[in-house]
Amino acid sequence: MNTEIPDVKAIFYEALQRTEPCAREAYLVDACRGNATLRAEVESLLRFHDRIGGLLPSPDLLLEGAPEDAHVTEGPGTVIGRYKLLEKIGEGGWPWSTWPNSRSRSAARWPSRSSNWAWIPAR
Amino acid sequence: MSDVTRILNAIERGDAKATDELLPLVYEELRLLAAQKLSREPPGQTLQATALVHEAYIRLVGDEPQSWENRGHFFAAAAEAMRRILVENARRKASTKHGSGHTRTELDELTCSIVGPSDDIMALSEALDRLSEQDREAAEVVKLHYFAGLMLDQVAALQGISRRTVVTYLSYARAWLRRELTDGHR
Repeated sequence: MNTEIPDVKAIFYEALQRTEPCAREAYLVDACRGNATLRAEVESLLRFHDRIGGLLPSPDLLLEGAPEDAHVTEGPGTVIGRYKLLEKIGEGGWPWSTWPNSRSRSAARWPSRSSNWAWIPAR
Repeated sequence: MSDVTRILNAIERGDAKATDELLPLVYEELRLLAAQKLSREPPGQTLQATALVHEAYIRLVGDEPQSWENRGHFFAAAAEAMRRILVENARRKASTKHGSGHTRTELDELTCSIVGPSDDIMALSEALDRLSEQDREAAEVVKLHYFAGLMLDQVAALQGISRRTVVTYLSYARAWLRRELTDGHR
């Protein structure tokens, strides 16, 4: 099977954004430009996309416009290891610069995803 | 300067041998961290890959600022290490499945509780290798996001691609992997 098809990822993703069958069809006709192999590969992937189920957590939640936090499961009160999260104190950046590596009980930034949390020891 | 920082700098200078030194160090640290943490927790506790990997980063690299390239090398190694740990645990679980059901006490067994992709991790890992042969970039993005637990923005920054491209690669890779894992395909 020849899978060295140019732009198959981009075409697949763009087609995915078009949920209306006519719009998707029109896009595929335009994007694949008569390349039947490319068209078959994209359509095959689209069929399997619908069957993804529990394979991997869906990054669809993170498509443009969706809040980043849609993917974050932690919240105030969540216990992670020995720590309990108190409240979100910031967001973004590389949050491990103040990782709590000592026994300090002062608020520190929790390196969870892109959110930073105040935390206390859980016990 | 820590061993890992030294290795990262060597990799940055183009020392190909240094890359081989990095993975075992990161792997060992992650395995020990997971075992250590879980040994202090009640049974059934789970660990997030994200938290583990970030703690390993602090322990091995410290908080000195690192170049993007160095961070990229570290997280690529961490993602690969997490994948191996999850696969090894799945193998161990499978081999003890028909055992007497005794309480497991070995530290290694406890790392079964690391949260990872829920599907059959061994099959998924093999499919990911096949994806990597065809599309290394897409497979790398999957590893960084799902195994090292990095956010899309972090993956984008480390790979030097846009966030939208990361999402495109992930969507593509998931459909590709599902097809690969479907019985009767091929």
